[in-house]
Amino acid sequence: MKRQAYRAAPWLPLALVLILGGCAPYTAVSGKQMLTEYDVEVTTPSGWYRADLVGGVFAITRDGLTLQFILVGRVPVDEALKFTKRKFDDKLPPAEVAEVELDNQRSNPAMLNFVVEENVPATLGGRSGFRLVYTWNTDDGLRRKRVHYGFRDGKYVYRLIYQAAARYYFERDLTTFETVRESFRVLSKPS
Amino acid sequence: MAPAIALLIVMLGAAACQSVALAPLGQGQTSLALEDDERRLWNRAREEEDRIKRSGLLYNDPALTEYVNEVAQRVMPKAAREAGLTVQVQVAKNQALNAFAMPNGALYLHTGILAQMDNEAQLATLLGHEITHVTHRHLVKEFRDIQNKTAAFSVFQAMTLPFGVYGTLGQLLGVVGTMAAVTGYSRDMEREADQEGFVAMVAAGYDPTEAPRLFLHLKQWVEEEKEPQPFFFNTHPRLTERVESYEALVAREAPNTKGRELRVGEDEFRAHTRLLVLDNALLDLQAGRFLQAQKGLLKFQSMNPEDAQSCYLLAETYRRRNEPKERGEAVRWYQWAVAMDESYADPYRGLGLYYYQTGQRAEAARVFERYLELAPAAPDRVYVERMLEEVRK
Repeated sequence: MKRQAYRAAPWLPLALVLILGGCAPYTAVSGKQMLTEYDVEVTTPSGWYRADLVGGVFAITRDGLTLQFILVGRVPVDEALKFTKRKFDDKLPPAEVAEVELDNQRSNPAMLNFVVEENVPATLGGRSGFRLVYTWNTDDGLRRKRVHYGFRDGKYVYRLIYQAAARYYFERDLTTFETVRESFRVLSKPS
Repeated sequence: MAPAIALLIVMLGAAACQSVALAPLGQGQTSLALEDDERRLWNRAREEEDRIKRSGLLYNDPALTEYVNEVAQRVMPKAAREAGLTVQVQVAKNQALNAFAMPNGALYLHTGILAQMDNEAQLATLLGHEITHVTHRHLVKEFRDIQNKTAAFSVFQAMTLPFGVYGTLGQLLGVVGTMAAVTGYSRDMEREADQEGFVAMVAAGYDPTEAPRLFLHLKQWVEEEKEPQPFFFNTHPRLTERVESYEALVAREAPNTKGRELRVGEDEFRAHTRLLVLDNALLDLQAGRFLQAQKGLLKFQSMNPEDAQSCYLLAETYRRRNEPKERGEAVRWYQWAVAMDESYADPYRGLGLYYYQTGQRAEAARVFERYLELAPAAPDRVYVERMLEEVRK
C-alpha cells in the first residue's frame, strides 16, 4: 500500500513549493517607477519588494503577498473579466465602472462574506474615478481588506489596489499606500 | 487541496488494499457499521461541514431549509433511516448548478440548481440522487478505488480542476467535500445514484415524469450559457444521455404508477423558493449571466406580478447587457417599476444612467433629480450629483 501512496508523491514537492513558497520571486525596489507597459508612473516606498507576477500587473509588498501588497495595473475595456461576464465599455461613467469592478469581486467564489464598506467618487492621478473599500474572508478564515482606486480613460480601466490582512497589517501600511497613490501619474494625456 | 488529497490517500492507504464492494448502509444492519477508513472520512466531513457553516456561504432561509429537509426525509430509504443514518440538507448561496453529498449525510444544494426547478418532484429527484451517494457509500468506494488503481492520476486531476466562475464551494471545501462536489463520482456510481434515487422518489409518491424534466432544464441552461457543463455534470454521464436514461426509467415505471395519485408539489415548492429565485437572479445579474437573471426574474414576476423590484432588476439586465436592440426593453421595465411604485427611487437612477449613456442629457437630468428627491441619503448620491452637473452643462 505504501507503493500506492508513493505514486502520488512526485506531485507533492511541486505542490508544496507552489503553495508554501509562493511563486513570486521578490526584488528590492524603491523610488520612481516608470511602468510604461501600464502607462503609469508611481513612487514606491523603501523597504518594499517587487513580486514578479503573471497577468500584466505590477505588485509590491513589504512582508509577502499574503500579508499585504500594492498593485498597479490596467485592463482594456473590451477584455473579459475573470468572475463576471459583465464588461466595461468606453462610455461607462465612474459609478458604473466601480459597479462592474465590484460585481467581478462579488462573483469570485473565493471571496466569502464579501462586504462593501465604501464606494465613492475619487480622483487618481488627476482622473475622475472611484474609491472602493471592501472586505472578505478567505477560505481559511482570514479576513482581508482592500482599497481599490480606479478610473476609465479611453479604452482602458486603470487600477491601484492596496490589499492586506484586515487585522494589524491593513492599518499599519495604509499611510504608505496613500503616499503611493499620491505619486500615481498616467503617462499619456487624457483621452 | 491537492497535497491534502494525497495525504488523505496516504492516511487511508495505511490499511492496505481494500474492497470497493460495500453493502448499502442499512442493508442487513440494524445499526450503522462503518469501516475504519470510512469513520475517518466521516470525521473529516464533519470538520468540513463546520467550515462551511462558518464561511457565510449558506443561504439563510430557515423555512426553506426545513422544507428541503422534509422532502429529503420522504425520499430517504427506510432501512438506512432505521439503521441510524441521518441526512441534513443545507442550501448554499451560489448560482452554479450544483449539489453534493458528504459521506456522513450532509447534503448541499446550490441556489442555482434550486432556481432551475419547477416543483417538489424535481427536488425529490435530485435529493434521491444525492442520498443514494450517501447510502451506497460512494465516497469511501471512490477513495478506495483511487488507492487501489489510479492515485497519481486522480491527484493530478484534482490539482488541475478549473475552479473559475463556477466556483461551487470547491475552494472552500476540504478534501472530502472536494471529492463530493467537484471531482464527482464515476459514471457507474452516478448511474446507480440516478436509478436508486429515481426508485426512492417514486416510492415516496412523486410523479416520475418530472425526473427527466429537471435534467432538461439543466441541459437548456448549459446550451444557453454556451459553457462547458457545470461541475455537477463534469464527470457525470452527459446531460442528453441522462435525460434519455431517466425517460427509460419513467417508461419502465409507468405500469406501476397507473391509477396512483402522484405528487408534483408545485405550489409548495414555489411558495418556499420564491425569494430564493429572486436572490439567485441577483447573483446571476452580478455575474453578468443576463439571460439566466432574466429567466429567474420573470419566474419571480409570474409569482409576484405586483412586485416593483423585479421589474427594476429586469430593466437592469437589459441596460447592463447593453444590446442596442434591447434598450427599449430596459426603459419599458423601468417604467413598469415606477408604475408599480411611484416612490421607488432605483428605477429613476437606472433610467438616468440609461439616458446618460445614450446622450439624452435633458432626460437624464430630469430623472436623476427625481432619484435624489426620492432618495436624498442614497449611498451613490455624490456619483449622481456629478453626473447631474455634467448633463446640466
